[in-house]
This record gives sequence, C-alpha cells and structure tokens, in this order.
Amino acid sequence: MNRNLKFICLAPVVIYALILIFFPLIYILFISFQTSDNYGGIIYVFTIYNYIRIFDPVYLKVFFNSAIIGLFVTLACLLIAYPFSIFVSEKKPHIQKLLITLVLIPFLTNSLIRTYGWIVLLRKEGIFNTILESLSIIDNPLSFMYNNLGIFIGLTYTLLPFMILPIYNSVSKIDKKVIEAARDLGAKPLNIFFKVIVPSTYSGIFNGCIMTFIPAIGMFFIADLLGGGKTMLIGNLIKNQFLVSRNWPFGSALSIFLIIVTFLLVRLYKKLGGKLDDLGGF
Amino acid sequence: MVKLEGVTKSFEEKEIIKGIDLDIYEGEFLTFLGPSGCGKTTLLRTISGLEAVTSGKVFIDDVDVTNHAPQKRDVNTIFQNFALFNHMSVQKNIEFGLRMKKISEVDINKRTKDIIKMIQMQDFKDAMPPQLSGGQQQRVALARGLVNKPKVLLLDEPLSSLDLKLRKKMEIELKQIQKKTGITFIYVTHDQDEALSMSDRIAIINKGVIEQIGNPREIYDKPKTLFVADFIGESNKFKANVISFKNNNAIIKIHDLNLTLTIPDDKYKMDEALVAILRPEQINIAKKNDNINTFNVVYKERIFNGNYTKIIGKLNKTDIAFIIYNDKEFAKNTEIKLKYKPQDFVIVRSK
Amino acid sequence: MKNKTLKNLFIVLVFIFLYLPIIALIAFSFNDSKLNIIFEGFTFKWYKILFTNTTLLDALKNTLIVAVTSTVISTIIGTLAAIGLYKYDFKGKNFINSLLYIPVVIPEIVLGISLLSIYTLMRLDLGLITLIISHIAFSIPYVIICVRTVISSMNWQIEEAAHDLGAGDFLTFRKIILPEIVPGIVSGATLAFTLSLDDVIISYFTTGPGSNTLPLQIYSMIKTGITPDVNALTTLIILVVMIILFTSTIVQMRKIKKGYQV
Repeated sequence: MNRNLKFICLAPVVIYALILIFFPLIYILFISFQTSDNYGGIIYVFTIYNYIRIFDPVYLKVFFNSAIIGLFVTLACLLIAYPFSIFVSEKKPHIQKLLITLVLIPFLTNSLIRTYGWIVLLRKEGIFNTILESLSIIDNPLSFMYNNLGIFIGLTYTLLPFMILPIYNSVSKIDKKVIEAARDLGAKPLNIFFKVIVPSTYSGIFNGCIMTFIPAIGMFFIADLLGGGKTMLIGNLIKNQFLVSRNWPFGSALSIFLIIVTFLLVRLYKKLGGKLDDLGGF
Repeated sequence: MVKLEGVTKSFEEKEIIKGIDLDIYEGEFLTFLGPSGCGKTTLLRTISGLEAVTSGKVFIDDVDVTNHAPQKRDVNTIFQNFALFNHMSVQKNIEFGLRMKKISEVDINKRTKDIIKMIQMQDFKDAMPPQLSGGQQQRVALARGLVNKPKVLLLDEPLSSLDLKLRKKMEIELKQIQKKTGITFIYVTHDQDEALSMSDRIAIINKGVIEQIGNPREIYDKPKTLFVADFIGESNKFKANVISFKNNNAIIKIHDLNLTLTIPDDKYKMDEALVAILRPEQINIAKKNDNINTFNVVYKERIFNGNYTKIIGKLNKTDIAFIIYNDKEFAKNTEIKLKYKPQDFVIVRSK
Repeated sequence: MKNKTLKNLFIVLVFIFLYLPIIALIAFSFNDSKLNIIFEGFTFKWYKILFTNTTLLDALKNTLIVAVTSTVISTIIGTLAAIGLYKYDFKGKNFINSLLYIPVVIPEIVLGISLLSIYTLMRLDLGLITLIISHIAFSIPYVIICVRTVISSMNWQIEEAAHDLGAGDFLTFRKIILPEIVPGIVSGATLAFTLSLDDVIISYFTTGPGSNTLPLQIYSMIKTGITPDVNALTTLIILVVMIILFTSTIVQMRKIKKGYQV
C-alpha cells in the first residue's frame, strides 16, 4: 500500500526531471561539441571550435553589452525596489498585503503586452513625445526607444517585481525589536540602515539581483522591440543561432556558457546563506 | 491488557529499546517516565503500531498484534502537539475515528454528543481547532481518542505544550476521566510531578530498559538504582563500601558519617562501591543532647520554597540538602548539627 | 510628517511607473483613431472589431488551452512530487532535487532551446502539444516549491493520528493530508497559470505554425502593424485579472486586519 503511494508520488516527477530537464541539457551539451554544416544541420564530428568562437571579439562585444545593460537594469531595479520595500513594510499588515498585490497585478498580464504598452508611450509619435511637444517643451520628438535607453526602460520595468518580491520578503522579516535595540544602543538612523537593516537583507538583495540580471540578458524580445535590433544581448544571439543562422552547435555552446555563468552566481548566492527555495521570490 | 515480550527496536543499527518485558493491567494508569531520548516514546509507538518492533511481540487483550497496522489495533494515541485536523470542526475531528469504523449515524451522533458534553465543549463543537485555546485543543484531542472507546489510550506527553497552571488543572481532569471511563491509560512523560500525581504505576525508563516499575510511593521511597533515586525527587548521596559479610547480610560503611550498616546481601562483592541515599525531608536539625546518628554541616545557603525552606550545607566536599518548616536563620559558615535515622537509608549500587 | 509624505510619494511614483503602460493601453482601446497615436474621441468600436478578429481570438483560445492544461497537469505532478520528495527517501533523490531547481534559475531562453532541440531529435511536430509539454516543464518546480512551503510547516503527526483513528493510507491522504495542503496547491496552481499566461520566450521556441498564443501573435503584430483591438483585448484581460485578484485580496486583507486588531 505504502509502496504504491510512494510510486504514484515519485514516478511522474522522476520521469519529468529526467526527460524534460536532464536529457535536454545533456543533449545541448552534446550538440555544443558537434560541427555545424551551415545549412541548419549538425555533422556529428567532435569539435571544440564552438567554444573557441565564443571569444571572437564580435561576440565578446555582445557579452560586454549584455553585462553592462544587465548591470544597469539590476542596479536601477535595486535602487527602486529597496526603498519601496522598506516604505511598504512600515505600513499596517493589511495595507502591505494590498500594496504587494498591486505590484503583482501588472505582472499577471503578459510581459509582451506591457512591452507593447511602452511602445505606445515611448515611440516618436507616442504619448510622451506628444505631451512634451504640445507643452512646447521640445520641438522635435525625442528618441526614447530603438536605442539602449528603450531596452533599459523595458527591462527595468519588466523585471522590477522580481526585485521587489525577494527584497520585500527579507525586509518584512526583520525583527523590529532589533532596530529598536540598535537605536537603544545609540545608533544613528544612517548607521541603523547600513549596519543593521542592509546586512540582514543580503540574501534577499542577492536573490533579487540574480532574478533580475539573469533574465535581463536573455530577454531577446525586449531588445528586439524597444531596442530596434541595434543592440544585441546574449538572448538575441542565441535566438539567432537557433532560428536565423541555424547554427545549433554554436547556439548550444553559448547556452552552456550562460548556464555556467548562472550556476556560478547561484553558488555565490548559496555561499552568502541564501536558500534555493526562495529564488523566484514567491 | 497489554503485554510486551522481549520488545526491541533499532534505528539504523542503534538499539533504542533493549528487550522490554512488561505486563499492563486492565484499567490502570501506567506512566513511562524517563529523560528525553530514553526510548519511552518509541516504546509507546510500538504499542500503537506507529513503529514496528525490530524483535519481540506485542499483545493487546491476549491477541498478538505485532504485525498489525495502527488502524487495525484497538488503541488510540493522544499526540504531544495534539495533531488535530485543522480543516475540520471540533465535532468532525471527534467523529473521525467513528466514521472510519463505519458505525451507524445514530451511534456516531450519540457518542460524539456525549463525549463533547463530558469535556464541556458544547459551545465550541463547530469551532475550528486553530480558534481554540491550548487547554481546549487538549480536551478535543482527548475526546477524539476516547470516543472510540479504545482498549488502551496512549498519551504521548500530552500536557507538555501547556503552561504550568493549565497543566496542573489538566492533570486532575485526566485522572478523573481515566477513572470515569475505566480505560487503560499508558502515559509518557519526562515530568516526575505529573507521573507521581496521576499514575497507578510508574515505569522508569533509561537507555532503552525499564530501571524500575512500581507504584509512585515505592518508586520514591525504595529506588532500586542510583538512576531512579536521582531522577525522582532530590537525593543526598553518601559514598559507601562493602566491608564484610555476615550470614546472608552485607556490612557496609558510610565513610562521611563514620557509620556501619547491615543490609541484606544482593550478591555484592567485597569492597564494592555503593551509594547510600537520604531524602532531604529525612534529615532534621538535631537537638543539643542528640549524640548518636548525627553529623555536622557548614551552612551554605537557603532556598525559600513557599511552605518549606530548603537548606544547603556542606559536609566535607558534598552538598547536603534538608528541609525546615520555619523561618530559622543561620549565619554564614555556622555549624549545624543534623540527625538521621539509619533505617531511612536506601542503598543502591554506584553504577 | 514630511518624511512620511515623501515616502508615500515614492510609493505612488513606483506605482505610476508600474501602471503607466497598462493605463496607456486601456485608454487607447477607447480611442477612435486607428493609428493609435492621438486621442481623437471615445469609442467602443475596437471591442466590436475584436470579436470578429479570428486570428486574435484563436490565439487567445490557444493561450487558455495551454494555460489550463499545463496548470492542471503540473499541479498534480508537482503536488505529488512535493509530498513524495518530503516523505520518502530513494536513491538519487538529491540528484532529482537539484535538477528541479534548474528551470527556476537558468535563463528561459536556455530551457526554450533545449526543449526545442529534443523535440526535433524526437521528431515531434511543433504545435499545441509541444507548447503544453514545455509549459508543464517550467511550471512543475514552482508548484513543488509552493506546496513544499506548506508541507514543511505542517504538523505531520496528523497523518499518524489519522492512522491511529483507523484510516488507511489512501483515505488519510485524501481526507487529511490533501485538505491541509490545499493553500499550497492553490498558490502553486495560480503561479503555474500566471507563468503560462506570461510566457513569451519558451513558447517562442516550442510552438509551431497554427498554434500561436496571444503573446506570440501580438509579437508578430507589433512587427507588422498593430490595431487597437489588441488594446481592447488587453483591457478585457486586465479587467478579469483585476476582479479575481481583488476579491481574493479583500478576503485575505480582512483576515489579516482581524488578526492585526486582536
């Protein structure tokens, strides 16, 4: 009886984990060491050329761009999310619940739809420019999008909730008595903030940063729509290798590279005392 | 009612229960008392069937239930933290066991109603467990077990999560319910006060074996081992050695008191190390003209305890505790002359 | 006092930022101009046109089919898995556990292309089926995390209590364990459903011709030219989401408020 229950509980998840997680990743690891025939096919000849190719200056530039944009987006999200979480956590519990739900609502409508909303706002004939022109503040429309600024706004907007949730979770868990104790011991507000509050939310901060930075460098559609295809992120590069240039082995090598970067970040997070279950911030 | 034969239980090579034989009588209140980790809860769980025995046999009402699943045994358990079903009302919780037995609806209603009345929870029968106080939850847990009229009710430290005052009140209630229903109770606790005040018999368990079993008075007055003496109540311990044998008796010497005693021989060896035990209330302040069976201690401190005061004095290097029932004050380092009755000593082996 | 006003102002500004694009979309769903640029007058015509736009409605239908199917399946597998992984030990459990974190942490695009690769390897035709499988693939770990949170804070003695009171394994599971972990299952299912509705990247790689989901349809429309009936549809979706969320939040707020006053 007990054995049946065990089997019913575990068989599906084991099959799932092996077929839909383990096997696909092993398979792209395998492909990444094969040769492309330049027509979308794979020639099964072992090579490490795909990994050498990653260090071609053309691609290094993509990595560099991705890292810079990713870092700027992460920093912007952090600078918005941290004070926001602190201020929200000072409210009464039921107000906090309401405010956090209000953060989640836009997130429940599709990210692409919201990106489209930004296009309506930002483009040359968009709402911002129309308003600014009608107020005679500007004569010629400003370029808010089809450049890095557009990508930056779009990514910051899309990923902000992923930063707010983990930070809010860790901020709201701070024992108010600890802050009172610090005040009692004579600490000034700024000292309390940097010596007591910030250190006890490190894992929340790092969690938010991972959940912002990693998706940021992969979100090709925002770079596509708001960046006008001028700036390539790693996500665009991988997408192109699979769907445009049809060089799967190189695309796979890039993916493996991205996985390695991710795992290094996650290991760092775990080292800082973060829990894997908290990643994702839900 | 319950019989254990050579029960052992091991977890990953580690033996938690080391061969226990025990007879539990019908209608008695038996307590397994011991420090945490002694195996008392595990022993209880082998009776309920929540833990399978490694070897040995378990009988309930002369039926061998060693291989029966818990749901097939006519016993019920009251868990340490109540284990109430939080998504069910008080009434639904209590009915659960009866519904599993597929009894008629009329019977279920009657028995549930009666037991709710007995625990005085009529006004709360539709409440959900999280809305109840600790004491109320405790009563529901008890009712949920009792309503099935099990042959034996097993209680696993059921009072440990309650505060002191409520605990004392529930002790009385538990004992009354046990008497009223006549159901055999097997009770597990590490709290000697609970054990002494409620039990018909106490089994002192240490490191997986029963050190001693008997009624509370026997356990307190006649501890058979140093462990029991230490665990129950407070003891003054004096080192002693076997110095000679005579007929079927052993003659021992208590060095600190310069006293020799004759005790029945229990296969002692020559020179064997023993411990002579006196309870604090068995030591009194001697009168001026008392000359035999006295000794002096140096006053160290007093602990006021409400209706009595405990005095600690030093004899050579050991602390001696005794009880006074007045407000007598002592100056520091005063010598106090104490007396005892030699027949009060309980002698146990030092290991 | 002034401090507090500044704090509230900051909160309001963040919310303006979060809601700006949505409000823009909603406002322009009532705009008479087809070009969607300047507000020319109030109209409902885009809502009427929406109900004749079969491409868009088909995409919506696909989105819902995928979301509902993948949510049901991933919730069942995820719930069983969370219980199984908590209660039972087996060889390779640590390995399975670490595999389960992968979809949560790696970039979606990597999961997308790796799934595309094995579908191609197995010669599966890309379409609704592959889409559903992919959505199940990224949802299960989230369901497991949600259910596990409840399970690990649960008092497992209730299981023994149920056995003790005469309930067998399956009955205990159905009547005792399952109802206790319902909150975790609900939050897991909600999360799976939302993730499925929200997904662009994985769908982009694993869908085939004729099985566009709404986001993918909008993606291609933005590139070729978009019409305000998309705004109308978006407005309706937001409305539905708002209604569902607000009812549940108000219920929860009442509970919290109650607890707060006590």
